[in-house]
Amino acid sequence: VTAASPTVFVVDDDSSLRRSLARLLEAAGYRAETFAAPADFLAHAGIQGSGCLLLDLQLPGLNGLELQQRLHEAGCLMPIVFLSGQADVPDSVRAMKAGALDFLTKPCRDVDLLAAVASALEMDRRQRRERAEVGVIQEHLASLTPREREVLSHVLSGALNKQIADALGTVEKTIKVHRARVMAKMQAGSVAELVRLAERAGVLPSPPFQQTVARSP
Amino acid sequence: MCAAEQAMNSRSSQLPHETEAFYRSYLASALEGIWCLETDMPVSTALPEEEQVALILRCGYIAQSNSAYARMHGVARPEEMCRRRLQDLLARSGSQGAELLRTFVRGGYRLVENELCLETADGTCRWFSLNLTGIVENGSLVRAWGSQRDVTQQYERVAEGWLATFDAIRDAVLVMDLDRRVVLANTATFALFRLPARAVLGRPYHELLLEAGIRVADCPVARALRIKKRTEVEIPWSVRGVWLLGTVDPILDEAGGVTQVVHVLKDITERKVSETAACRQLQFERCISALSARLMQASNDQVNAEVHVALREIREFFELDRTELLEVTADQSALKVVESSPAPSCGQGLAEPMDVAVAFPWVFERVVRRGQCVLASTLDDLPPEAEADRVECLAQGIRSILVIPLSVSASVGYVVVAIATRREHTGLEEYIPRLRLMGDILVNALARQQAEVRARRLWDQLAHVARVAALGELVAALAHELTQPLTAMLSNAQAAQRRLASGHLDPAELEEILADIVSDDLRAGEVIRRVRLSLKKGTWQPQRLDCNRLVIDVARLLRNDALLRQVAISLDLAPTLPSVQGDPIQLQQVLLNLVVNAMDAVEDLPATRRQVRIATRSLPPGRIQVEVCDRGPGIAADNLAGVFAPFYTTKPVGLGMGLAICRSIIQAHEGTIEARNNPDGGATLWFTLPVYEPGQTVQAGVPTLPLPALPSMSPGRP
Repeated sequence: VTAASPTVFVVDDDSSLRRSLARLLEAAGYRAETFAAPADFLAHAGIQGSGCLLLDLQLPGLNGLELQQRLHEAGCLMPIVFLSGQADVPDSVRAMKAGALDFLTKPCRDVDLLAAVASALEMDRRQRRERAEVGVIQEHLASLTPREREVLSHVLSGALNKQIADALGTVEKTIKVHRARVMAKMQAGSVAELVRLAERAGVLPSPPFQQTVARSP
Repeated sequence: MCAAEQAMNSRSSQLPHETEAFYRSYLASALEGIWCLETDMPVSTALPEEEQVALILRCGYIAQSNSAYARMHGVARPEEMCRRRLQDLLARSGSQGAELLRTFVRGGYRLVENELCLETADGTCRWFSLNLTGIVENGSLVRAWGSQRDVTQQYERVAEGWLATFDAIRDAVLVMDLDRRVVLANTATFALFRLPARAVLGRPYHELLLEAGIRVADCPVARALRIKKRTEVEIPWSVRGVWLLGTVDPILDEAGGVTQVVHVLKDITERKVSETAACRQLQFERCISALSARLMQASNDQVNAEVHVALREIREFFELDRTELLEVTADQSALKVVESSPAPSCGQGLAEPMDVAVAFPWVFERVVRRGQCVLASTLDDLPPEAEADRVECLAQGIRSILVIPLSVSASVGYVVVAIATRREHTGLEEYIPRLRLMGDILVNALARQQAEVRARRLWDQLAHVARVAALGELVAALAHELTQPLTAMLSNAQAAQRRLASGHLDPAELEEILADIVSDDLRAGEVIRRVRLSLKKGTWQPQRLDCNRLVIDVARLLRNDALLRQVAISLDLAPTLPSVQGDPIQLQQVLLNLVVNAMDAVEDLPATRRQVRIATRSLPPGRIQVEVCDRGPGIAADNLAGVFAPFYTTKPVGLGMGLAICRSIIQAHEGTIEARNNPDGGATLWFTLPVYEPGQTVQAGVPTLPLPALPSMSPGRP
């Protein structure tokens, strides 16, 4: 187990259970960190780190579902595998809706537990990769001038240069220049790629213009 | 001799001469007998009285008499009476003559209207009234003049009148002399003693008593003679079964001496019997009321002992030799002995269990099937068809038997048996109503006992159901408690397997893993043991326990439930708390119940206000208190008193037995349980228990102790 190994954060108030889960996880090659209460975990610096959370549903102070919500609010997207003493359907539905990756009923077999942990860690990795990519796109977006942002949003809505120029009160030639700069700054090879990048970064096309275009014959 | 007496003597000495003159002149014409007594020699008045009497009797003769006198002696002419010796004349009057002469001498040679009974020649008795006046000259009695009238007819009339009166009296009336010889008696006397008149009259009374079988010591005559006063006593005449009221009135003479006594014997048997009966009735009533009172207070396990006492009392009261209470079996086919009280002298009677239905088929049929009493004062009273019963009675030495059926809800449920073996008991019939009453009281007590046993059983079942229900609420928590160690064990074991498979198993880690598995296994076992204990029916295992521990255990049991329901349970435990004695499972159940109720009470509040506090404190002297306080809506004032009543519930799906059972348990622990609303909202329910005292070992070690007392089944208190 190296520092680079993914970490499984175990939150359970039962010390024996905590220990045994940690042992199992470590035997399976994961790093395990254990916490007796959700508050302890929230106070832990590593909540932004990579890994997954193995969470007991019934916890003192703050229950598992509430912790899930607090982590969301804190921007922690760590996947959560819930462990519950009793399988309560409404609780499991709530947990899954809130993004729990799995919901296991105690006592669970190691294969089930480790499979859930593995898929949670895989999800974390994917999420982190994605988030890293979006971060780059957003950096590129941030380098655009306001005029270039305007042009981008019109391009995303599928407007032609002429239409954009009309809408922005300038000439087509100027729009062409802006458009080329946007493509360069966004490192997009084609309009299609630009649209995909903008989509991932959450940039929306310009709606009113879209309506105008829709009305044109 | 004093002057006054001399004067009297001289005056009285004049009188005889005048009397003599009167008699002489009157002799011929008188209708009454007149006679003159002379003596062969003068009788000196100086002689002692007895000598004078003897001398007069020996020397006296009739000197003169008239014809009336002669006729009185059955002779025609007075001359024939002349020279007749006084001795001869008085020969047939016994001591009467000497007695009269003694009175004559003592009275200054005078007799006035004295009675004399003379037997005449024809053997009949005639009564005379006699006057006699002696002539004393020169210190000697020289003559005496007498007159006598025949008063026989008068006497007879009077006597007949009196006798008729006596005979009309239904009580025996006897006149006795100082020697207690019967002088006179009425026909009722003869009837009473069942003797002819001649066997009574003249007999010494004590002889009559002895013959009649009356104890002389019981007779009041001697006492009346001694104290010279009216005496009245009740005399038992046991051989006749009769009571007599004996009254003795002494007849006194002028000097206050007793001359005779009048003895009246009145038959008071009837009064006495009714008195005795009333007395016995009263005694019996007392017996019954005492029995009822005792049975009322008797706890279930005492009822049989009281039944035994009652049977003994019945046996002694009615002088029986054995009394039994038998119960008819449910199928009405046999009898079994509930209690039996044989007289100590009679051995054990039915020592071996026997089938009464078989041994006494006829009695069984009559009593159990037909619900009739069977009474046989003697075995001959049994009809021919009861031959088997008769033979059995003979075999058991039963001489009288009474069997009374007692109904329980329309059928014969019990039977009272009264048996006499030493003698034939003739008086049994009149005891039937009383025995039945007594039996009904016993049967009521037994029925009550059985009802209570049934109710207790039902209560135990309910308690069990409630316990199971309470546990049902906790199943989630208990399941959680079990899954924790199970999960830990599984994970530990699988971790070890993985290490083993990968060849990286560190022995130190393996040791840790195994130690954890062992401890989790024990933990799971403990959970299971607790569940099993909680489910076990009504066993009572008192032990010394710490209520703080109890609270901590309960809080732990409920922890999961509380988490799920987001109720904060806080503990406020006394730093030092004396131990109590009790059943940990039962007390745990009580506390569980209170806390679960409190959690229910705060259920609808916002999560932050769902608070339940459990506190313990010492309540000197000698008690501790455990309270459960919630911040819920509290208890409606109307219900505050009734929350511990059975079937009180505010929950849509509650049995309402929880708090009632809590109260039973706490009461069985000699504790109290109460509820109140907090001034700042919510309710507090608390119980107190007595502190364990080392000397108090009454309950310790006894596996089956009285179960929780039954609460009254009446609807909730107002």
